Amino acid sequence: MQGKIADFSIPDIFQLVSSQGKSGSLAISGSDRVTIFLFSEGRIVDVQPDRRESNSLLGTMLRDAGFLTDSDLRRILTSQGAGGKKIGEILVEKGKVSKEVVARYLALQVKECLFDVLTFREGEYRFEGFAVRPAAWGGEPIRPDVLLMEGMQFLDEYPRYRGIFPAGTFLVKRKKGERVDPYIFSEVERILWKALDFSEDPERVYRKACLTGFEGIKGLAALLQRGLIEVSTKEVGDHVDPGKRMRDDIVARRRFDTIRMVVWSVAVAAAVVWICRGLLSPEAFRVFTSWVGFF
Amino acid sequence: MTLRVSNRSRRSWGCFALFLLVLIPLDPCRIAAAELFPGYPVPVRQQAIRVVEAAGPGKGEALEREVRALRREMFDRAILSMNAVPDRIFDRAAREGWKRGSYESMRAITRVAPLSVPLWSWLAWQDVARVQLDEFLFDVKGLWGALRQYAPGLLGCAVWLVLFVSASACWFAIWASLNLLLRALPAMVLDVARPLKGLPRPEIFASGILLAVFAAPVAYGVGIGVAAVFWIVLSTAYLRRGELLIGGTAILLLAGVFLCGGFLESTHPVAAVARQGGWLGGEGYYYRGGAITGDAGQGFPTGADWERMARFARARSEMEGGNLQTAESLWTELIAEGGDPADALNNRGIVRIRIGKMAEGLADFEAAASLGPAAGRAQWNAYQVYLQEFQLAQATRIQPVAWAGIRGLLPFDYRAEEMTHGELVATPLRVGDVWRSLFAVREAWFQEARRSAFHALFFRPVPGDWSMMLLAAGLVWMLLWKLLSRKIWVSSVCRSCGAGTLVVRSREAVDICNACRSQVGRGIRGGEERELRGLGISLHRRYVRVCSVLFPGAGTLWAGKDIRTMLYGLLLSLSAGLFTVSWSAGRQAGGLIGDMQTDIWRAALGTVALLWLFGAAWGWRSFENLQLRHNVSGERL
Repeated sequence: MQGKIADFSIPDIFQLVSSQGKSGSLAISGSDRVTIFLFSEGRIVDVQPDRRESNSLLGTMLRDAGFLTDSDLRRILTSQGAGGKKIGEILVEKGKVSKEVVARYLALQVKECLFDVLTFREGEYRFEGFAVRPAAWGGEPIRPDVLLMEGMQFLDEYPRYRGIFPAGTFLVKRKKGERVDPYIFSEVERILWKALDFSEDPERVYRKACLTGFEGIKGLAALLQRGLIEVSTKEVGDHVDPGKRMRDDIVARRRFDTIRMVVWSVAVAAAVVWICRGLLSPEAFRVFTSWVGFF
Repeated sequence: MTLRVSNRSRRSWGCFALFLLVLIPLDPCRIAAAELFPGYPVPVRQQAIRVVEAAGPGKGEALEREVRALRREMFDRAILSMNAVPDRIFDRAAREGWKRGSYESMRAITRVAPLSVPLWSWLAWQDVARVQLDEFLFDVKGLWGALRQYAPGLLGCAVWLVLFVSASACWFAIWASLNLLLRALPAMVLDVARPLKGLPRPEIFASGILLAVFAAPVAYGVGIGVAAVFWIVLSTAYLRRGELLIGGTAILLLAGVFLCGGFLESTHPVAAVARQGGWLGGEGYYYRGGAITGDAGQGFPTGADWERMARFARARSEMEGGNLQTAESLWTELIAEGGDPADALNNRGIVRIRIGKMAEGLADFEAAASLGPAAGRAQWNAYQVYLQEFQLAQATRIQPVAWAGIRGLLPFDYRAEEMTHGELVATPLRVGDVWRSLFAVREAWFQEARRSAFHALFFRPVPGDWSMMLLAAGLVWMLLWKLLSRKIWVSSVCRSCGAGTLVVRSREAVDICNACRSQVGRGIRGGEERELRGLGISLHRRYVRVCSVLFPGAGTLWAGKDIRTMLYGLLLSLSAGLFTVSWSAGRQAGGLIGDMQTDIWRAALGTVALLWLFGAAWGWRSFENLQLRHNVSGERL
């Protein structure tokens, strides 16, 4: 089954595959990229975003969420090339990330990709039927109809929420000195509030909170409305690779700790020498040998 | 006209001088004796020299013969012990290189120097080294007997004990204060860094500030005790209950050191009369007279008792010097004064027998025997006089009691079967009162402590009157902080992973972080957080390991073994204290004491080194186990 999106809308395609309980792959191309959804008995079990859209790749998402470092990701991608395994499977196998976390981020990836393809106005789709077995490490298959409901909401509301924030890239951070009652937050707000400690980059905050861009910006808008966060525009050239920053920080801390330990060791050794000289000095000797005279 | 001296005349003077130089060594006894055994009558000195010359490896019989002869000379003059004999023999042995082979000679001369505490101690020490249990028990009995009857030995041992305890207490205070400071340091850095948040790297400034605070007492040159209290007080807010107990114990021990200084200071007046040549040491070294009355009344046994002891010592000195008339009158005076005259009666009896007043002497012995304490000696003396007077019936009657009586007089090795020349046994100065009053707590301890050498060594620059206040303030501060830390937020560092958090209330509840409690190890988060946590664990582990090696016991404090660490610290401090006292004595004292102390400081140093290694390994392993329990160990970070 294949055709143009203009003839047969994407929600209809998803509903058709889902209602008929089909298994196979649904490739949707548009805006110069191809996204492939894998179905098993009408439910989405996996997605393969376009390689050119690196932000939607599972490894990048986990790295942005702080579960992997750049070097971790590079190592895993190298080993992936040799064995042909999927990155989620390798991560679970190596124990780098738990199965639950991979499942959560896989669901997030599916959601992000679906929201993305819903924005396509032009393009093509192609469904190929074949048996698909859900991966053991991949979590529960997702019902497309539930995602489509959220997707419709995204299409309607996202532009409004995005308009609240400055155009282009921006930064968010907690306002200092504000008293916060975490019990008045909604679930999303609470997760976001906690994740704001992690980074000032909203994209990384969403990743950390395991939220889609739409859910994240909606939550940030609510926090902004409560007056709990500050928003600032990001200057060009501000961007520092977080992995590099962390590595530099680790090196600096190690170096500082080594220097501090050496200085303290010298100080304590000097104090010990001073103490020994005090207890074993000629003056102390005279005191400590006073008993000899009695014999 | 100028008197000319011919060259020949000069040559003859030179020959004469050479002749003298050759002649003098031919009869060394006459000249050397005066220097080796000052004060004693000439025959005693000469015989003592022969004993010294007869000593040596493989000369058992010759030495035994000379010792018996010296004993006879000593009995003739009522001399009970010549403590200088073992000193001289040991000096000779050290000079001639047979020091290690002098054991047999030393054992043989215990009969002429039974009140020599160094001799008995040295023999006991050698018995331990040679694993000779029977001899060891015998020598310990001899040592105990000498301590009970020779006042300087008693005082010297008491002073040694006080110095040993003080040195150990000082080492414990130092060990505890430095260990507690290093235990509290990571949390302290976090707290000092809190107000410096505006600076780029606040922990660098915080470390610098704390380093300056730590070094301040050293730079200022305060006493060790003051520095220890300062460091303990500094770290109090970050300690657990068991660690506070260690700090409190250290401060209390320092208070003990301060009072020990008072004790040492209060013994100074007694030391003047108790050392060699002083009347209190007259039973071991010849007392050559002097202003006994001027010495009396000083120190702790004051008043009539002290006066009486001084006069007793003078009478004994006259007796030993052969001034029998003077001695008799002094003994008579003492007996007339009342009190317990048994000892004086026995000694006057001996003097009277020497003068030739046999009947009066015998009456004195019988009177003394009827009174309790000197019965052994008085019975024996009466028995000897009965034999000399051919009153065989009386002699036979009291023989068993007399023989048994002198056999039990430790440390004097009296053997009735050998004493066939009319040997009479004198009663020594009784020094039991000195022992009793030595450790009685007196106000003088507190007063003298302010001026003591310990105060200058350990508590400068705090004025003497304020030293105890300083220690009390340290304890109060600890108590206060323990209460305040229930209300004030301070940093706490997880003992297992080194993660810092702000906490309030009890340290015990929060000194292991939640991540470690749930044993998540490094897997609490992935990626950056995991890396940073791994870094924290790695740095913390390195810090504790370095502390463990530098300061044994530090690792076990981090592992939470407070009480066991304190016991270990006490053991380490006792060894270090023994080293301090013995090393100084080993370096400065010669003879038997110097030799023994040299062995002891070497053994003590070895013990310290072993304990150090054990403590380092124990701390390392305990901390490793703690990290394993909380799943933050095992992987190379």
